Amino acid sequence: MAEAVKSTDPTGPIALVELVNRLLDRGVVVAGSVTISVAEVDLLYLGLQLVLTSVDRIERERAPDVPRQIEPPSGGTG
Amino acid sequence: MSGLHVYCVVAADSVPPAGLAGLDGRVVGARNAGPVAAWTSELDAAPAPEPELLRVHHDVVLAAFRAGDVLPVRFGQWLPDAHTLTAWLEREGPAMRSAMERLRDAVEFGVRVVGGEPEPAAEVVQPEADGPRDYLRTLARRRAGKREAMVQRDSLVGRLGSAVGQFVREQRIVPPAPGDLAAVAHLVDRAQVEPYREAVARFFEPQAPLRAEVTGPWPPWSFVT
Repeated sequence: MAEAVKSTDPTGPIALVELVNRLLDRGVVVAGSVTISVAEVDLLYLGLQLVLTSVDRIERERAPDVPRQIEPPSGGTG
Repeated sequence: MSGLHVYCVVAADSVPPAGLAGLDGRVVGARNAGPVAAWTSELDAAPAPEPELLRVHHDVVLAAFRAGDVLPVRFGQWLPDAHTLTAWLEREGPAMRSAMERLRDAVEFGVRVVGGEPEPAAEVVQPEADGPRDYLRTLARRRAGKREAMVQRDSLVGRLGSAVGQFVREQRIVPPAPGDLAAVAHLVDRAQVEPYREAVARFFEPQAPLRAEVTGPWPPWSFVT
């Protein structure tokens, strides 16, 4: 049976996904001072983050809480 | 003259270890402005987010983290000159100093919850063959299943927060990596690291088949913004 908790110290070998999650998505941003070339890199970051964002999270943001009603066609009777 | 790559913000007069190498092998130095300092190294242009460069950035931030309190700076923050850096530090210095006070003597742990049952393969429905009524029912079932999974996940994260709450200053829910069930970041007092680890282990022992992958202590990446 697998251990309930597996611990990893960031001072040793660490999975790239752990680094990417933090170094590209979190941390202080030099807002207002970035150059155009950095902004281009930011676009690349956005792409990476989209890959790392789980489909479930996307679904959560997209799916409405209540199933949508099917609207009757306009001009119908009733 | 080349620009500057910024690694982290630290208390004024905190200096990097002698000869600490940053991106491109350039030596990391400290630039003071007001109540804070930034650790930077010269770099000709904004770096691409390649794995080896991420690791170098990580190593520099870890060196600052070992020396004291640190605000990690996101990878790729490149400034064209020292004047721009100084202006930024002077403008944001008081707020960054406040953030440093809030994060004093604290470390971050990341908890990834893994090992849930794999999501069942989506039922194949064909509106033409099954009819619109069956098709819509299948869609509704699928949506309800996802909602239930999200409720269970939120409940688990809430119960985890309660179980470790006495050792945690702050908890942030972060986007889980693909395949993970949930992910949170915890801000923990340095003095509470061991009790915190034990509390996490106690919490997950009866949660099989769910498991936790805990990484830390990290610099407080998830708590500076």
